[in-house]
Amino acid sequence: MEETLRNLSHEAEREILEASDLNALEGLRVKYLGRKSSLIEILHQLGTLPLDKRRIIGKLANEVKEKFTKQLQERRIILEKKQEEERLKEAIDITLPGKKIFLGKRHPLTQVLDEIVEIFLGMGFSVAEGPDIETEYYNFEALNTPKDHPARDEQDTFYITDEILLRTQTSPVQIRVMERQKPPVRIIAPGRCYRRDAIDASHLPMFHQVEGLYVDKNVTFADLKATLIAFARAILGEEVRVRFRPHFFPFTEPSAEYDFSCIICGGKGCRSCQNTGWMEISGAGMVHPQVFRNVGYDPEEVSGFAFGMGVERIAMLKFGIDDIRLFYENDLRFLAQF
Amino acid sequence: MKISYNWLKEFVSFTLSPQELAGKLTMLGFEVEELFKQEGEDYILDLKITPNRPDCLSHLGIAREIATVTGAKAFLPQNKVVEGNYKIEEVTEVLVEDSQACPRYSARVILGVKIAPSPDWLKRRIESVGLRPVNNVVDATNFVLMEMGHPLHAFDFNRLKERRIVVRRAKPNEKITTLDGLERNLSSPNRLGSSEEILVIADAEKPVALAGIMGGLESEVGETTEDILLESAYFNPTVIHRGSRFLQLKTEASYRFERGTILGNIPIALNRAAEMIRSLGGGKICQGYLDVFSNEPPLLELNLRPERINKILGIKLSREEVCQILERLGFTVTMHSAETPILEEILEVGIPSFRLDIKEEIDLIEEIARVHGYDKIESGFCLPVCQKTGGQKSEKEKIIAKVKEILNALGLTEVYTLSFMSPSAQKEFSNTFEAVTLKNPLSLEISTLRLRLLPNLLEILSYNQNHQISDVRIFELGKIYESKSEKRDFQERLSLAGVVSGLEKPHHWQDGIKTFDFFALKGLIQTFLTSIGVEIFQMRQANLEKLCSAKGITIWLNNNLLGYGGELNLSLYKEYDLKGPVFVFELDFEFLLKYISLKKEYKPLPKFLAIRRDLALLVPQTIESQKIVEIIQKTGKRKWIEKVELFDLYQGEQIPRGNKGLGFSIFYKAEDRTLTEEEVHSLEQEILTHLEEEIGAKRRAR
Repeated sequence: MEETLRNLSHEAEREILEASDLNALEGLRVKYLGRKSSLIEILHQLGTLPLDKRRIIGKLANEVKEKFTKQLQERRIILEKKQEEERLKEAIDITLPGKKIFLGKRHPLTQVLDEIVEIFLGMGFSVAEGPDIETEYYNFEALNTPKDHPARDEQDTFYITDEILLRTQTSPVQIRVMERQKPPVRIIAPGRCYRRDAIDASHLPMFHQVEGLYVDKNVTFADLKATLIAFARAILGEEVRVRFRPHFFPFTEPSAEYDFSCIICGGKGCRSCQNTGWMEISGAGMVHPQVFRNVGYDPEEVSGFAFGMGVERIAMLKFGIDDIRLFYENDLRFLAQF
Repeated sequence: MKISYNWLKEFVSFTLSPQELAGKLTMLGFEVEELFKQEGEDYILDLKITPNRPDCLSHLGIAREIATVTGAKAFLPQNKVVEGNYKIEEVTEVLVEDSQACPRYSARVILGVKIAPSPDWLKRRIESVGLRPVNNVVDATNFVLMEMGHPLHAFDFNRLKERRIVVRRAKPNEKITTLDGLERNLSSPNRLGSSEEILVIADAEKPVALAGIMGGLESEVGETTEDILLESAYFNPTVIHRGSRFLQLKTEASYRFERGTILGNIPIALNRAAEMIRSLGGGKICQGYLDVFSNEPPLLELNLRPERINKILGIKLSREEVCQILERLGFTVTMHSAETPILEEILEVGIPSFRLDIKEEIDLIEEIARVHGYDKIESGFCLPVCQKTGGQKSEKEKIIAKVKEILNALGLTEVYTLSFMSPSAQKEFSNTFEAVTLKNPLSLEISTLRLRLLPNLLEILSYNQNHQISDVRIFELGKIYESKSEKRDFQERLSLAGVVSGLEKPHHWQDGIKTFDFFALKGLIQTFLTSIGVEIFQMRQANLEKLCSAKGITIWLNNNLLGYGGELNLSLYKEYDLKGPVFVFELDFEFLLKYISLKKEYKPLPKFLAIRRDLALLVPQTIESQKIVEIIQKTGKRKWIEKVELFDLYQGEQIPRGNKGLGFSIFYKAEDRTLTEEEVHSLEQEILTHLEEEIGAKRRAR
């Protein structure tokens, strides 16, 4: 039995050292330490031996067992390291496709709107909001546009009842904010607006607008220009110029339309700007004294400016998009571009 | 409005080229929509005239504006009349029954006119500004219209019953066939919210024209006409606006009357056209003209404070510069005498009758800015300082930004859909509340506002699937609209919806193909809610009928319904032209907002390790796994059990019929120490006892 154990020990030591991979090593563990291995059998038979023999053989068997375990462990570490090294050395075709994950995108209008909001936040404007479903009073009357005013015809309106409508502009938010807040007021109001425009490449019955309002003592038309020029440069680049043309809006006076120099041709004139060098953006102006009176502000005490801008319009300019419908078709190949 | 470059030169002298002129007009507030060359060495400028400037709806009006910039003077057209022997009072009479609607009505009669085509020069003029030549009489009235901006109308005098004019409101059930050949019912325009009837020009019996809008066919001037009654009148803008809207009829005349015409132009335009008709078609103009007219309002005078101009515009204009601009515009300026020093700085400005838009001081300030030039107002180098308002995003906006970021990370792309929906789609999805319905929709498909976001998202899914995009993962965060309590109370609230179809993750050659399934949806919703700080919510199986009947869930927060989700029913595939399977969810975001907070508070990291023990159970088939988790957590009194995770669901051969095998990993942990083996063991035994007693679950032998 001693002989067997010694032979076993030598044989195992050699085989363990020769084991070339982890599988072979596991085989050896079963062979020498498994339930049916000679060593375990010997250990099981110990009870049948005479006491003195039992002590000697028992000691030896346990020593062999410990030695096996240690050797297996040592060999395992070596083989594991070797296997890692080999795996690392393994030649792979790195041009095979990688494992991708789905990553969503924000809608381009959100991206542009966020950018607009960030720019105005930096200028001290806060964000205000109002309902899409508005009253005639807030959408028109408080904004100095009484019934039968020809300006109402220019914005064909969706009505829900005789007095309730879908707002045609975000300007009603001006009134709502001024009614509840004393000057100074410096807000922008982004939101959905609705007009009865038939759908084509540049019109939809719904679009997004950002309204701006700044009321305080001594706010001037020059401040309005400074604000919109700073905005234009921030959103489209330092080289953009801004032009203000006289216009008419019932709730501002003086009123202006403002244009950005064409970002395609840099203002030289091209097809995109119909050779004018300018891209029409939106309207702006000094808040009309009647609007101040309507909300209980004293136009002798305060002055202010207001402006609007279409988010789709800015996004189209920024990304060179020529069809407004793309924003609402939501073709994922389109959305993935931003 | 089309303006002829050559025609303009008859009213003002200038040396600007057509392009320079277009540039000047644009910067004066008259946007040039188009500039094109026309035969006969003329150029046409198509101008957009803002509604406040009806005085510029003519060549004369534009000439006055050019005069303002060039410093020249605009000429008024000739209006001398060569009259015959008959006196007008002897041939006709005019009765104005509604002087509120028609404060001034004047008429001339021309007898023995020969109706003929206009000479070529007149035809060309008329055509150049976009009108169609008709005959010498009609063309003369249109010529004066385009020249002075005042609409005129010529009647076949002999077709007027009793040869007289009555200006009145239409009577019940009256009808008229207008020049365009359409018979028009003049019944009460009640639906405009006004009980006013249409204003008509009638003869002794019946309407012969829609006042200020369009003439009648019967009294039209044609080849057989000999005698003419020429009308030049002022109609109340509101009356014309309402009438034109009611009849859905817009004309050159109604466009001008509803914006406001100039009372003082009435006799000038009348005389000018009468003389032109005589010179073109012969005949005799009766002596004098009828003029039913109350008093002309006095000219308006306004006070203007030069310092106010600078305060509003942010510039420094001297009083002299201000006066110069005002005078160029045709305003008169009087300075208050030096004896009243308080008023010394105030200018008294007289407003000419054609400037209907100038009503208060700010209107004058705008005029000064306009003529001075918006481009000359220096914008300065720094932005105005405003100390009391900070640039702040609201908590809500911050949360929305965060939510979109998380959904993006979960692989969902944001979409925008219109706020509208078709009534039939509404019916398919909702029955709780009524949709907000538009009174005047563009089409039936977009005649109501969306009650839910999902139907629009299904259309986006369909669009993409039809464009060979099969992996669609989208969401929209936007408003939905409800009409409550008899259509008086309209509510709008934010909703969040998502639609997913296609693979669970992008396909890779090393992995098998795995499509997105119910548990992927559930996990997506769970991950989303937990990541925004909403940890405690319940999901319950629910039959969502038309939407998701078999694999539907409702999601509950604090015993309130937060939303729903599940696998879409097959019946909707056909309706929306979809390929499945399709998974959807929609959450009441307005409600969810109350539970989302961006406030973060640090919790110390655990100092002691948890002990993990796996528990393989044999449980009756009908027991929900969540029930087992609850029993385990209850037994652990929560404080010793950190978490319970299901790692296996087994229903193979080794499981007796009517049972299932579930494997749970239980993590035991105390806050203040590492638990001992004994403590864990005894808690595990306790758990097993409870499971057996409450649901008959047994530990599965290995």
